[in-house]
Amino acid sequence: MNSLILFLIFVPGLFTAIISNRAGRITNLFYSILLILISIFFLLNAIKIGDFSSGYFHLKFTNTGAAFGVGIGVIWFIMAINKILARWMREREFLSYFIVLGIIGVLFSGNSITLIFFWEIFTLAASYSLGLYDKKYLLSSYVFLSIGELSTVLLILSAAIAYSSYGNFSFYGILHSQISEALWVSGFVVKAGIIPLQMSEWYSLSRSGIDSSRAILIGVMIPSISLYGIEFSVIGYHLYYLIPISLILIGSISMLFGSIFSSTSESPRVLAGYSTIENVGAMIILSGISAVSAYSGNYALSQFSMTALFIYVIMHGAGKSVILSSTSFYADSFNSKEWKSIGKGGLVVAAISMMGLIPLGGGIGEWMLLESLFIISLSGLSYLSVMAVFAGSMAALSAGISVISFTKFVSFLGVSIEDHPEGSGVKKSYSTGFILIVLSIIFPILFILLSIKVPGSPVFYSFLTGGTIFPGWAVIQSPGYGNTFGVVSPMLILAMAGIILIPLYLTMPRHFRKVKPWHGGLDIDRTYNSFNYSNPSRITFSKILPKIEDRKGEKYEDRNFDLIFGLMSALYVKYENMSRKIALKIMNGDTRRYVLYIMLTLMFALAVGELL
Amino acid sequence: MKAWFLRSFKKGIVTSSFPSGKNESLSPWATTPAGDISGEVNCPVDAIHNDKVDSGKCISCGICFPQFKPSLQIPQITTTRVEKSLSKSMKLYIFDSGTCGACNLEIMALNSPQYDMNRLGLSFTNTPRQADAIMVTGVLTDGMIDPLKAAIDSMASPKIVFAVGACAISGGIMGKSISEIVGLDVQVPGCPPDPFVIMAAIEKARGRI
Amino acid sequence: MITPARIVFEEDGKIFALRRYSEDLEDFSGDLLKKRVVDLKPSEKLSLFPYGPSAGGFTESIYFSILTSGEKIEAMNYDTSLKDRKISLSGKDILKALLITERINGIHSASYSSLFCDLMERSSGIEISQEIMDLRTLMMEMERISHHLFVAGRLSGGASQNIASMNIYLLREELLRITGQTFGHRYFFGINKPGGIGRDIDLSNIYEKLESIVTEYEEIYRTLMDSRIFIDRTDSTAIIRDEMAAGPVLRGFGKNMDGRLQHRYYNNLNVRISTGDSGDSLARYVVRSEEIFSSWEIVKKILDRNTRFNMVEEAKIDKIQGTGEKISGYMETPSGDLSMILSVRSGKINFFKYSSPSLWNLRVFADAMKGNNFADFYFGLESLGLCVSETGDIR
Repeated sequence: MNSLILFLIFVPGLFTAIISNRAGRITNLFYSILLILISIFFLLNAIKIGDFSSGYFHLKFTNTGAAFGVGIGVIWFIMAINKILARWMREREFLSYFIVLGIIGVLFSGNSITLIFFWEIFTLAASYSLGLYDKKYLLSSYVFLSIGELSTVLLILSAAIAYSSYGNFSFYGILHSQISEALWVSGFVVKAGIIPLQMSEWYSLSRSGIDSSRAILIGVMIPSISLYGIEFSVIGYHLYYLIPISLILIGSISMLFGSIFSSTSESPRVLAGYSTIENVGAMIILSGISAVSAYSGNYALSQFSMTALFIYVIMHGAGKSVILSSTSFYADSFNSKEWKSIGKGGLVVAAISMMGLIPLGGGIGEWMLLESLFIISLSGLSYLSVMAVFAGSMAALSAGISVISFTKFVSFLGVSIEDHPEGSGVKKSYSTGFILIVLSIIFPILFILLSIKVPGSPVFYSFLTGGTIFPGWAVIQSPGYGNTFGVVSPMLILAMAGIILIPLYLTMPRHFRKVKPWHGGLDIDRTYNSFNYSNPSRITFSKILPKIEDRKGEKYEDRNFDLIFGLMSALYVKYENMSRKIALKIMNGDTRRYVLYIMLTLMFALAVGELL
Repeated sequence: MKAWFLRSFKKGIVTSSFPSGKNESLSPWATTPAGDISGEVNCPVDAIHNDKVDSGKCISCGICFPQFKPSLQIPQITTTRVEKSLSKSMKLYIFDSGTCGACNLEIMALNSPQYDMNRLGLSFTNTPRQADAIMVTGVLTDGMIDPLKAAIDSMASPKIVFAVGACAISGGIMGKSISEIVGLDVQVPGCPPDPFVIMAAIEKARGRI
Repeated sequence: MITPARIVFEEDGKIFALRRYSEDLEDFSGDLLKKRVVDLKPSEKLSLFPYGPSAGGFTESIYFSILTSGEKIEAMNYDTSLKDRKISLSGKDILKALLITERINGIHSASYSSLFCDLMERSSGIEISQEIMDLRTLMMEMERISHHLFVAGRLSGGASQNIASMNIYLLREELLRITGQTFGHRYFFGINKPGGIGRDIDLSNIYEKLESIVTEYEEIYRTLMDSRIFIDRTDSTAIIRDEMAAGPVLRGFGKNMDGRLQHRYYNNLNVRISTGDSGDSLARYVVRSEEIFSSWEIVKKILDRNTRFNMVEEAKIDKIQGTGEKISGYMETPSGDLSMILSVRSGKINFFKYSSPSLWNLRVFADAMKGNNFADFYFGLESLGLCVSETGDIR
């Protein structure tokens, strides 16, 4: 099969939503399953996908692309379910499908200019959809765009440097020059929202007025694709040691701060957003480890960390998507329609992905991460050992802090629910069951898949370990001294899900007494949600949280954790004033239209550039 | 830290063995006065009729002294309901519908080491949703009618309504009784009732004495 | 020094005011204190937290609505009217009025009834003996000790010092039992009568018991002051620096003001006033604790002078007929200054107004909580020693 044909299969989805909303939802579900299946079959060597090349346009499907295709497919699948459950009235299916298509395009890209083209498509589509509904959210759209464009500029610069010396846009050219590869990898790192202390993308995203399905797209899918960019860049080509080492450093700092900001957050979306930063940090460390160990010839460890990354991508994708599903249209409202449809039990299970302590969700990935760092710290390379110890302690610390986020999320689930109508048990059982089934299907399939040995293809790069890491699907074997992790294994997960959760769920009381929470006896409408409660973790961490509110005198102001976000906001105000003057004096039109016009022109110019 | 430990040992056990043992103290005027109507007795709340004192009405003012003197006995507690199922554990919610503050503090005194209500399986709760019994104190006030009804509604069965103090039972000298809107299961007389009286009433309502 | 008007009322087109610690009505000129109006408007980031009227953590029913960002209190409002008993005294005979006055605030009943009786006596020119005056002072000081112990117990309990809290409650209960045994009533109900007392009182064996309570409290107080946790929680929380405040709250920020300093009941008793300077919960706690010791000094002096009080009253109530002239006075209750104006005509009350310290403390507290940490609300509230019952209206 040709990769162009394969890619074109996904294009009709763009137009189904125009026919009807329902068709759009079904399309999403169908295509997400298709993407997962294609990726799995490709990994198993069951189908062959050939390259396509026309001028500078080059499409290619690789093992790494297929592995991330499974992860992206899972996120897409949950987003599709969310769309069906929530039935958004104001969805712009066309726009959100554009984002997905851009992301799939990145997976298929065979050279740098094709990748940049698709990269720009989803960046623009996402930033436009962020500022779509409300003028007051234009700021978040702008911040997203500026970060996205920064990433694109870095990628373009890198491609240009490679072009000037090699005369083509192949990845090989980019990744064999120190400057271009550094720019190239930082382009992806910027997009993942990961530069230490710079979480602008997530913050702007969590503040904006987008619906939850789009929040999944932007909040979970885009970091996953950025990780794909990082991983395929560092693993396939021998880079300089400095880059994976700085990835480990960046990742560990992001992990720590992500977990702190997540635990001090004030809305479920901010919580999920910063928790994503933390998980992405862990994944970046893993990709750094996989590169470092591959360069030093330790392919077993490289394989181990790649597998951990793969598990992390899928489990983080599934867990975080379900959590974001629980938030409604606006970041602050918690008690939404979807909220009720997902059910508390399912959310609790999903929220475990935030915490690396229980062998569900990110737990396996977290442990494999720590094990990899242990092995590196004993490797004998002195500066690397020190780095591994540092990263390991950061990771462990953030895993501890993420328990706060988890507890906060779970304990706040109950508070905002006003009534316990007796009939809700039935609906709940459906959705809780849904989550349990999804998780218990994903896990066995994942581990069975990872244990398969594909004859003919090299074990390394294929992401399938051939049973070296999960012998008999039952235990995890460390590449260090060949010891297992004891009972911490995929089997335990099955046992957890099967033996504990399902009977617990089956014996759950179905009837609830109808009583309102005690409001002190007065029927006063409360405007607080549980996130507004006094926030002890924020008080604990207050010393390290930069607070802008203090500088603005007595009046309570928004709390911006992020200094760069503050800078961006200040710049935006200046930019807006300037462009308003230009718009009124020169163009005599609307600022929003003007921004839109710039976006479209840019997109058009890029498309024309591609064709030429 | 060390100081607290040493203090506790030095202090020894101060907790009463009531209701199995005898009550250590009883505030004289928290008991129902007894006497004879030989002289003219001017009772401001009209609690005295033919030598008999209506303990639910008596506000412990002592104006009937010296014809009437405190009986120094735990007063008769009227219970219309006994819940034996609560005999092991019982959670109490204090509801102030309009007190002078004294009844509330006397109920809260049950928490102090001399009474140590926890030894009897009693504890206070912060929400009526978790309460087995509600202890209403004070006269009925307009603002607290709705909260009182809401509190009793949100309690799970079996639930016991205690009226603590003369104000809650009869309105005393201050106003109206809460019996106008809720049925009283247990009446704890006194103005305010002595903590031992309150404890005796609780024990009676759960069938332990 | 500002001595704010505590009671302002209009009669025959003229405005009269009774100032703090004053026994004389004066013509009022100046701006009337405006009703406290706070607009609580929730927004995207600020939410309204309704607390009360009946909720755990309160001793009495009170309703607070707190505008908060979840961490900081942005503004606060309160409503004490829910449990307002709408007490009416006019037209009531003196005995009933006295019984009701005792129950305006049951836990400060000695102060209320002493002031009421004092005004009654002054309205009819009845002289009372030094003995009766001493007894009233003694009761008020014991009441002060008992109330301050209660506040200390609540505050230390709120700051998670549960052992200290229980130790303090233990002392308070011992004090209440002694009070019950010697005075016949744990809250001094039914003792004060205009012109005398309602029952015989024998104080010959309370000295040792009281002394041991105060000494034990001193130990607890010193230990508590060594507790970093307790200090951290109460230090610089709910700082109040408003001259409208009353009692320990006023003295907590360095004002050397106390109704007992000028009051004739306290002549020759050398009341020792202690003040704090920071105005926070800790300062108020320290002031209260020091007041327990200074009250004990007063109690000691009185017990040295007399130990037996014989019942004197009966006939004197009938003597009070009154002329309708307004008599005003003040008394320092454990919470602060209480002012009262009343007039009697032909044996019945025909005018009655009072201003309770809790009303003022609540008002300054609500203003002072702005900007405080949400979690510190409780320490602030408990350090006030608030009695909601006395904030009610008199019709």
